[in-house]
Formats: sequence, C-alpha cells, structure tokens
Amino acid sequence: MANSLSIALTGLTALQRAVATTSNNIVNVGTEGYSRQTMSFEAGPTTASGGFYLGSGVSSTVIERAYDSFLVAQVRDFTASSSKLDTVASLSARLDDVLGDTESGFNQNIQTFFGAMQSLSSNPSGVPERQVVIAEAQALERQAQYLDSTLDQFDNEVNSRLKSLTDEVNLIAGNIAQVNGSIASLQGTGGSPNSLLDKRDSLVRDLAKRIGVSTIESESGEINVLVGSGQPIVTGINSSELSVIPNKLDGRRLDIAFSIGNASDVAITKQIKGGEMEGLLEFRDTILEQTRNDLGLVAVGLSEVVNAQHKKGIDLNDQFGLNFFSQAEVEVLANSGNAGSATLSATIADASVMQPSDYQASFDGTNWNIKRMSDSTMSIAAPGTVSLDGLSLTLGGAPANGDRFLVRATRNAASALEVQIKRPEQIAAALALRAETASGNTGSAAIDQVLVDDATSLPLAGNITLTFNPDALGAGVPGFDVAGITPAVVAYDPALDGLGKILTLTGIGRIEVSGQPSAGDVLVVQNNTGARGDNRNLLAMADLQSAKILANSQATLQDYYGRLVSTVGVKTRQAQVNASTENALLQQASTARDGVSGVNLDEEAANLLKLQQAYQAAAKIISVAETLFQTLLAATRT
Amino acid sequence: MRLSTNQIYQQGINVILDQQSKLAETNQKIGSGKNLLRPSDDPAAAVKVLSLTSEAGNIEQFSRNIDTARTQLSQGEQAMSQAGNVIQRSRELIVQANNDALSPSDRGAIATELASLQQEMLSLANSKDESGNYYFSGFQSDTAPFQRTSAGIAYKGDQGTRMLQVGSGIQVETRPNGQAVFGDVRSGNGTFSVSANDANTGNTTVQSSVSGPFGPNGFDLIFTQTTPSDPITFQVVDGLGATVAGGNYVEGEAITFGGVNLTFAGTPEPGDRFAVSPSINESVFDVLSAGIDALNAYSNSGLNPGLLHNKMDQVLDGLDQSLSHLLDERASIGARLNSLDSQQEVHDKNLISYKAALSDIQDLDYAEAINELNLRLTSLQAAQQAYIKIQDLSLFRYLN
Repeated sequence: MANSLSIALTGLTALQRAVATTSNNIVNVGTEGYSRQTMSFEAGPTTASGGFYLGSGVSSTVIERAYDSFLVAQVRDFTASSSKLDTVASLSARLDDVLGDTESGFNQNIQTFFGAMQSLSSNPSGVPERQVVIAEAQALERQAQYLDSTLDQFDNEVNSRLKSLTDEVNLIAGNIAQVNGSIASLQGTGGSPNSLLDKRDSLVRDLAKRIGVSTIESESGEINVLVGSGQPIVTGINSSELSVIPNKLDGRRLDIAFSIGNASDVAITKQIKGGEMEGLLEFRDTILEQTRNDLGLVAVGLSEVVNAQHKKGIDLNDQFGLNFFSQAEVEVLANSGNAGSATLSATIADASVMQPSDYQASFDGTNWNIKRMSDSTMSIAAPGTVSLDGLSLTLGGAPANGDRFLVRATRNAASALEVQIKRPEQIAAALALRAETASGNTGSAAIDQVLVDDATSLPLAGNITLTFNPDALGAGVPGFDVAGITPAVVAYDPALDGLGKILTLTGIGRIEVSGQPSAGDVLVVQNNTGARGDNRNLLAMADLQSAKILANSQATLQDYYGRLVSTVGVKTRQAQVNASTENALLQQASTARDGVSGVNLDEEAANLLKLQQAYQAAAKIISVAETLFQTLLAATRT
Repeated sequence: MRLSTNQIYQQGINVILDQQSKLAETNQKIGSGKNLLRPSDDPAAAVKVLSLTSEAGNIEQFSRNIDTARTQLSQGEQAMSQAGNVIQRSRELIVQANNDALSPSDRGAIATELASLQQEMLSLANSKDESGNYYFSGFQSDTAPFQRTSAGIAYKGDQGTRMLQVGSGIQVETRPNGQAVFGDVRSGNGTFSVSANDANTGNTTVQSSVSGPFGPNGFDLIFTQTTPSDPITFQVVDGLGATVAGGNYVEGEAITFGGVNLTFAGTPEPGDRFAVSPSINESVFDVLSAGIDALNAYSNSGLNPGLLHNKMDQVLDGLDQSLSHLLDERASIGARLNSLDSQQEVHDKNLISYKAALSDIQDLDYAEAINELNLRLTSLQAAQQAYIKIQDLSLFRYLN
C-alpha cells in the first residue's frame, strides 16, 4: 500500500510537470522561434522484494525541445538570401515605377523637344515657335534632373539604410554574445536552457535577415557567428562591430567595414553575402549605378550632338550658334590615399562610342591600368594622353605606384544638363553658309546642298567661288577653279557628275554640285547673313532625333533610353522571380522546421487529455491504496 | 506530415494575402485600362511601347509638317497662277501693240497699262506669308525680294530654298525662291536670242529656231549692199570674227549656221545688223520692262516700226518663255503636292497600324480582365471561407 502510494505520488509529480510542459507549449503557440518541448518519463528503479522486482513509479527526466539543427540552419540561410532578393526586388520595382511611365517619361520629352524644332522649321523666324523650342528644352532639362535626383534619392536611401543596418547588426551581435554568456553559465547544471537556445536561434535569424552569417558551435555551447568571408562578428561572449566608411575613391558611396579590437577598419563590402545588406549593395552597384550611367549617356549624347549642330548655324542676329545645352563633363575622382602627384583629366571626344561605365585607373609603377568597371575590361596606357571609349584621358604628374583614380564618364551628365539658350533669337535656325549661282551663268550647274562640318574657321573672310573650266585639271579634264579656299582646283566632269557630286571645302564642310555648267559659270558659297527664313540648321537638328548617335552608332537617343527602361524592367522582373523562388524555398524550409518544432494545438489537446486521464488514474491509485488500507484496518478490528 | 497550428493559420493567411494582391493588380489594370502597368510586367513590350509611341509622335509631327507644306506650296502656286494671268494679259497687250494700225499715243496707253501690270507682278512676287515674311525672298524673309533700283527691278533675296521634313529622311521643298520663279527665265527661245540692232532702219522681222548644237559664242549677221542695184547680201560672223555663212538675201528663205535657223521677212537696209547671242537668264520684270521701254521709246521718238516689231517679237518670246517657266514651276509644285498626298496616305496607314500595335500591347482586354476579376474574387472568397472553417477545427472545442 505504501508502495502504491509512493508510486502514485511519483506519477502525480511527473504528470504535473508534463501538464505544465504541455501548457507551456499551448501558450507559446504563437511565439516566434519557439520549439515545442516534450518531457520524457522514466520508470523508477526496481527494488528486489522477496524474489520480486517491483517498480518504484515514474520520474520525469529532461524536458527536451523538438529541434533539428540542420533545418534551423536551412531556415536561416534561406532567410538571408530571400531577404536580400526581397530588398533588390522592392527597390528595383520602385525604380521601375519611376522610369516606366510611357506617356510622360523622358522619351516623351525628347519627342516634344525635337517636335518643337520641326514646328519651328515651318516658320524659322517665328518668336512664339522659338519660345516653344526653349520651353521644351527646359522641360527636357527638368525631366533629366528630376530623374537623376530620384536616382540620387535611391542612393541616399541605400546609404542611410546601410548605416542603420550596421547599427542593428551590431546590436543583435551584442545580444547573441550576451545570450552565449547566459547559456555557458547554465552549462553543466543539467537540463537544457531551451528558451535561451530558442532566443539565440531567433537572434541569429534576425541577424541573417540583415546580413548573411554562418555559425560554429563550440564545446561549451556557445556559438561563433561569422559574416562576409569569415569575419567573426560574435566570438563566444564577445562581439565585434561593423561600420560604414566612405569609399576611398568616391566619398559619397559607403563601404561596410569590419573592425576588431584596435585594428583598423577593413572594407568587406564585396565579401558580404546575403541579407538586406547585400540586397542594398547589389541594387546600388548593379542596377542603380547602371541606370544613372545610362541616363547620363543619353544626356551626354543629346548635348553633344545638338550642341555640335547648333554651332554650325547662325541665329537671328547673324551670330554663330552657342552651345544649346551645357557641355557635358567627365567627373574624375582621385583616391584620397594617392601618394604621388599624379593628375588625371578627362574630356569627351566622341559620344557615339562612349560606354555608360565608370573607369578605374591605377598606376603600376610604369603604366596606368585602366579598368572599365561595367565589364572589367583592362587597358594599359603609358602616361600621357590616351583615347579610350570616346574619352580623351590625360595622365599627367608624377604618379606613385598604386595611385588610383575613378573616372565617371557619364554619371553626372543628366543632373548637369542645362539649357544655355535663353532668348528666342539665339536659336541658330539658319546654316552658316549658303550657296548661290552667279547671275550671268549660262549653264545649269548649281550647288544643291551645303554641309558645314566645322564652324570654327567661319565666318568666311570672303566668298568661295567655283568657276567652271573645261580644262581646269589639264587639257580636256574639266573642273572648277576654286578661289577663297584650298584646293585651288577640283575635278567635275559634267558628263559623269551631272547628277550630283560631293566636293570638299577643306576645313569647313562639303557641297553637292550638280548640273551642266558652261565654261566660266560661277558658283558661290558665302556667309549666310540675314537669313531669317533659313531653316536648314533646324532641319539638321530635328534630324538628330532619328540619328543613331549612341552605343557605337547603333542607337538613337530614344532607343537608348528605351534600353535603359527595359534593362531596369528585366532586372526588376528577374529580382522578383528570384525573390519569389527564394521565398518559396524559405517557406518550405520553415514548414519543415515548424513540422519538427512547431506547436500543434490538437496534439497538445490530445496530450492534455492523455495526461489528465493518467493523472486521474494516478489519483485513483491513492484512493485504491486508501481503500486497501481501510480494508486491512476493518479486518483487524473484528 | 506533422503540421504546427501556426503553419495552418499562416498558410490560410498567405493564400488570402496572395489572392488579395492579385485582385488588387487586376483591379489596377481595370482602373487604368492598361495591360502593362510597369516595364517589369513585360520589359520587351515596354520598349516596344516606347518606340511605337515615339514613332506615332513622329508621324503626327510629319503630318502637321505636311499640312504646313501644303499651305505654303498652295500660297506659292496661287501667286504663280496670278502671275501667269498677268503675263497672259501682257501678251495680249504686246500683240495689240505690234499692230501697225496703232498710233503712237495708243502705244503710249498700252505702255502705261503694261507698267501697271508690271507693278501687279511686283506685288505678287513680294507677297508675304501668314507670318508676315516675304514668301519669295529665299532665306532673306525680312527683305522684299524684288525692288526697284536704278538698273530696273532687281532681286534682293537669296537663292535659298525652304524645305520641310515630311517623313523620316524625306524633305520637301516648300518655298521656291523668287530668283528661281521670276528671275531665271531663259531669254529668246531658250537656247539663243536674236536681237535687232537699235540702229536698224529696215523693216525686217525675224523668226528663229534651233537647228543643232549652239556654241557658247554668239554670231553677228550683217546685211550689205555694195551699190543700190546689187542684191542685198548677208554675212554671218562668229564671236571670233570668222565668217560662217553668207549669200544673197531672199525673203522667207531660211539661213542656217552654227545651230541657228533664221527666217527673215521684209526688206533689210544695208547696214542692218542682227545679233544672235546665247540665252541668258532674265527676269519676268526685265521682259516687261523691255516691252514698256520699247513702246515708250516708240511713242516718244517715233522708233522705226520694223525695229518696234522686232522688239515686240522679242518681248513676246520673253513672255512665252516666262509663261512656260511659270507653268514648269507650278507643275513642280503640283507634283510636290501630289507626293505630299501620297506621303500623307502612307503616314495615315502607318499611324493606324502603330496605334493598333500599341493598343494590342498595352491596352487591356476588358472582357478578359473582368473575367479574371471574377475569378480572383471567387478565389479570395473561397480562401476566406476555408480559413474560417479550418480555424473552427480544434480539439479544444470538445474539451470541457
């Protein structure tokens, strides 16, 4: 009886603990990171009693958490990668929205700008039409600046998010170190500090959301957390710190640095894998930079070609055309740690072969190694002036080994785009030269077209005259005797060239001559003064809309902008697809982990019922034992 | 497999959230009427939309340019047609003045009318466009193209020709310059002109035609008669002084030399000379001035009637050349107007196909979208109902 009583008591005690464990599971059903706990029972020791071995009840052993370290690690890794891709996808989707408007976007501004040129060409001296051209150019300027400032805001956002992310990472790393300490101190006291372990797992997962990590568990139960290429951010009960530092070449962009003890910061930006941090860096370095450079290239192309053509014309006051848009400039940034006195200056030589890329030039002691950042193509140049991708780079000074420069070919062009023509009469609608046939001519030769290639030597000091001479190049070899420019004679055979021949005006341009001249007929090229009705330069400028002037003469301005939009669209779509794939994987991993560790209320209810019944039964043992005892008492009383 | 309670709820919620976001997307498409909401929906299509939109924009601009070109060409055509009428009328007057029955004062009156016709021609040539710019002055649109100077009416514009772009890579001339329209009239018969010497005293008139290639140097024809009883002879010398033809003069008999065919009527006086010179460009105004001057000279000083006839014949030649020159110019304007029409047709067709393509790519198929909306609504409702039902399932409900 006493035996039964004590057995019942062990049962009641153990079952109470089990009910408590189940209750704890039930109330933690919604707790993030909680692993359900189970208590194991163990039969009490048997005692020998007169040749029998009797059990002595039940005892509760350890309370274990349902845990699979492989599944937890998988969840953590997928958390890091899906958080990274989510970050890229959501940022690029916002960028996509900014660029995507087909009705009011940059393309439309380019369209209306050239459209205004076309409209002006039907009334080249009209002041209202000229004002429309200027207004449309200014709208284009505003749109370019708006787009660039929007991109700049993305840049700022990335920077400030990187800053707050490093703070969060440092805080979480500190917490993990602390929990490590608590766990270590409980080590050896028997049992398992389940809630602390769960808490630590959650913290590591929180960290992985921000930056990809790997963990190593030590014998003492502490974990070491590594980031990047193995930088230990948590070592046992100690944590190190991440910080943001300005890039050495470009102070406006931030690098992530790792510092341990008193050692100096080491930039680990490129080594960071996973988490929101990698997402931000990837968005900045692949999508945002490319978009800004591409947009800049459109602005460079626009200003270069429109300016070049505009300068070939003359305005309503007979003045040569000025730059229509501000001249695009190349940004050169010197490494703050350059030891020598090297200088690098860069100008735009030919926009049509320019690449939307940054360049990094570093000196190896003899030569400059210039790396095109967009595809890592290297070129080697001796100090001096070198032509590269439409840029003219002048590498001067006394460089020291290891000196570096960053050249940003197009980065700032969109924000710097500015309309220089402010007054309607400044638009150079007329071409600088015009052609005439002398009034005494008896033949039919005429100059059909004048093309100005280089206006720097204009205006002409005097008229250029071409006088037809059947023997200009020797007896029977016809041509024009030329005055006012070299060469002094040009061949022109009316029989062969009567349908049109292009003749070169050295250093100035070309003319197309056609027809049948008589001997002595004179064709004249002269300064085009007073030509308020001339629209030839406007037509030439309006034609630039359809000219393939970018990307090795493969794309028009609008084509190129379209490419920019589609690149962002494709990358956004890619990021979204990758993110949803990764999210599905994360969900699968979470499902697997929850399958092991999650609380199921029905299961707990069943357990509760089972335990309740067992408890009731154990209690019944006591009453049975009591009845037995009473029976014995009653037997002895009589 | 084992499921945690959390998972069950979370899955239910996830399904609902997913359905809601799809519903919102469909809703947004219906609201905007667009199938493409952002480039990432279909990057290739987005680029196509950009290029089709700009192509359509170009076509609309070109169509506007065609309208402008048409207006400008029609204005020029109108002025030229009126100028043609002026020349017609002048021609009638010259024919009338060539009549021997007219008195000098009649010819004086004709000269006056001719002068007013010339003035009318001048104002036609100096007409302005809707913006107040001179139409025929080439690029010098602020300068009146034809102005009276001491040397007659001179062209003060330039030889610039205004063009407009009416298609990609297609430019059309919208304004000929005054020099080309009114100035570049070939004198005589277009190849050479024959003029009587002002000192001629005979009454011969001459008809000319081209009989072959005409050299760059002129010829001089002189009638001579050694003694009054001798037959009248003629001699033709070229610009270098070499005699190229000669013989006795027979009225009505063709004299041919160096690509020139001349037939004289009437009786020449010895010493009468005719010069055959290569055609030059003269203006309509020069032609009219020559007529006015000759008529005035005749009414004032009694010009030799033979000489007058010769002058009138020359003016008639000039007017005929002017008229055919203007007709040529008008014909080329007509041809350009025709090509504008066909260009416009091409643009219209392209615009329709571009717009159709644009609509195909970016516009929403409402029937499909509404269908999808209904589907999404049903799915969402189903997901919500499923969630409620599942949530209801718990063993704890049976525990008491």
